[in-house]
Amino acid sequence: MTPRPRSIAFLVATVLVLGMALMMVLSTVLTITVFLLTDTRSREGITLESVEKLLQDGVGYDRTGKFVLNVDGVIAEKIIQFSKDQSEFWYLLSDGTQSIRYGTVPPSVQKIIDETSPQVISSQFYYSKGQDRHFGLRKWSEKDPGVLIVLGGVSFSHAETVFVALWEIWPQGLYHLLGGVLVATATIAVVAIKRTIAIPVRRVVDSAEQLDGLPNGRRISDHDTPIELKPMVAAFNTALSRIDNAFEAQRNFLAGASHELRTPLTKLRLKLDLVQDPDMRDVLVRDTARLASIVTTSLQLARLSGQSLTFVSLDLAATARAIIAEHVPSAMKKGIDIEFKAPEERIWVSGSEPAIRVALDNLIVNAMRHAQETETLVVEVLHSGILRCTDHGPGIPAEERERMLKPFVRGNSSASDGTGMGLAIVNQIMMAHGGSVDLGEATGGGLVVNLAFPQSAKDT
Amino acid sequence: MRILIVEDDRELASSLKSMMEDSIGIADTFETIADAEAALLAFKFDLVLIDRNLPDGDGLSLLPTLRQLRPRPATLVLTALDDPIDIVSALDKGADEYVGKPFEPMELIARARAVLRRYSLDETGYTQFGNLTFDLTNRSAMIDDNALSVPRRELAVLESLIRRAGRVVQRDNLEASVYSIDEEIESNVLDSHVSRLRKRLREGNCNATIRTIRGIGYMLVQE
Repeated sequence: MTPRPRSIAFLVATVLVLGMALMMVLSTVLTITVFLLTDTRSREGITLESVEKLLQDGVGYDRTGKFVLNVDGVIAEKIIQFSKDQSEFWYLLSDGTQSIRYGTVPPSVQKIIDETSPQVISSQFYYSKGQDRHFGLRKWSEKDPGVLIVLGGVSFSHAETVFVALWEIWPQGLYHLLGGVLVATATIAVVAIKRTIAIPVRRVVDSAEQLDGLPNGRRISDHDTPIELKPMVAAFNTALSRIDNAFEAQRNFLAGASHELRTPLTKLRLKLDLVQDPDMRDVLVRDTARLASIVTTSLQLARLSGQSLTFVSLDLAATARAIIAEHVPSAMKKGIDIEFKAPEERIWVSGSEPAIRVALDNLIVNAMRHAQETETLVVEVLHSGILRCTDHGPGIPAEERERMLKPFVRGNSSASDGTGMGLAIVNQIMMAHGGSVDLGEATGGGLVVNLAFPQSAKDT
Repeated sequence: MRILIVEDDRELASSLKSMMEDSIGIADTFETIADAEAALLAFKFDLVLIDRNLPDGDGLSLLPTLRQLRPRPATLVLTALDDPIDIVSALDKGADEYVGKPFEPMELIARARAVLRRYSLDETGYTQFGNLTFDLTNRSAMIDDNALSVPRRELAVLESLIRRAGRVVQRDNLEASVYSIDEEIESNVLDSHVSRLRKRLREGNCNATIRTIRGIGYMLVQE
């Protein structure tokens, strides 16, 4: 089944739009709820204040100098609209000489108005009318200090209260709302970016990190990858294909080079048997052997860097024993004894047998090259998954040991006919195993090489 | 002994031919897989020496044909030593032995002889190492022309060792060839068999002897 193409932009936009809409609805509901939860008196206060502000804005003088409430303005219309629904609503606007009245000002209120000192800018009061208790407001206008506004008798229904309240709080509420939306947008953006951008990018990066740079045909999967990232994944995979092709070319070159170099070397070696002077022949045979050895180790090193090792759980003792057994005849010819020590039980390590073979071949050949005649070369496998090879040759000075693990570095001894690559190959193979190589000095002189393999979980 | 050499490099083929003819037997050389295949079907060969890169393909593609021949010739593959996978694939496909190029002439001859010895033991039940003759059919051994009396178990040890003469036989493999799975073996029983056998060979003036390779096994060598 082909997965539906996913787009990060689409997702982010959807999340943001939905988030913002949700935020606006939520904040409106919240405002209304808060208002509704406020007690009746406060609500009354709020509505009265709202109407008071409208009155204050609407009152003025016309061209003839008459004190009027601006009846053709929207504000006045609103007030008239309120008053129609409010049988008890009344107001009194006075500039000292002229006044505008609406409804009936209760006598008790008139008394309060008359008795309140003109010094008091604003006051609130309660008065009774029949069974009801009402709330009133008396205030000097902030726009025209000579105008006194008194009003009361407001008793709105819930819906009306909300409407009035919204009208009242509108500008401020809008700011709150916008602020809320901004904060929410930022939060959503952070979450959305993480969810929709960072996670798919991370997934691509993770699968890229899994690639070991070896020509094993592995590619980053674009399954479930957002369409914005697909070109990147495709470009990456194209680059990998090119690398694979280059590796393939290198591998073919190596195979070709290996054959092309070996055939003439073999012929050269066979012809050397025709050399009459035995001393000369020995020298030439040794040089040819060294040349052959360089060819082998160079190609091994080159092959290792282009090969993907497959690791399995294997018995290090049995593997090493079989490989070392093959070196015994050639060691014997050189007068060197090989002794192998291993625990009775199996030593499970995680490794690639062909690679371990190459490592041990090089290790043993290297040790034999440096071992003095009639010496015993000891190879041990320890419980901890360490393979130890000890020779009693000249050894390697402590300061040179690190360097010896790099290719083309030969031992200090000028007589050494090594290729300078044996230990480098061993090191490369151990690195590929996630293990390590440690060079040390043998008791009584010589070299100890410890190969530490990662132990495998298998335990039978 | 008749040997078939498949090698496309004429100079090398002629060197191989003269090496083989000096030490083992008559050799014929072919440059292609097709020619070699035709010759194998027409004549009987005891040993086949195969090179890998040939003009018409990989020399290993001859191995299936070789496996079907009766009697089957012993096979030795000349291969690159830098790629262990190459060696494994050669052995898996039925090669008896491999020699890495370039090789020491002595090494090639020794390996060829070892292969022939195993092959001869399998095909005729009879083989020779130094002045020691081993006859599987009659279950007997001879040093020069003198019969050597060897008990059953020791003869089994000797058979295993002579099969892989010149190479190490791992202790486990040797035990497996001498005792059945059910038999309880004490740890030093094999050592005492070997030491008695060693003594018999020495007393019979045999020029082959058994070397102990500590921690690995035993090896039959010519002194």
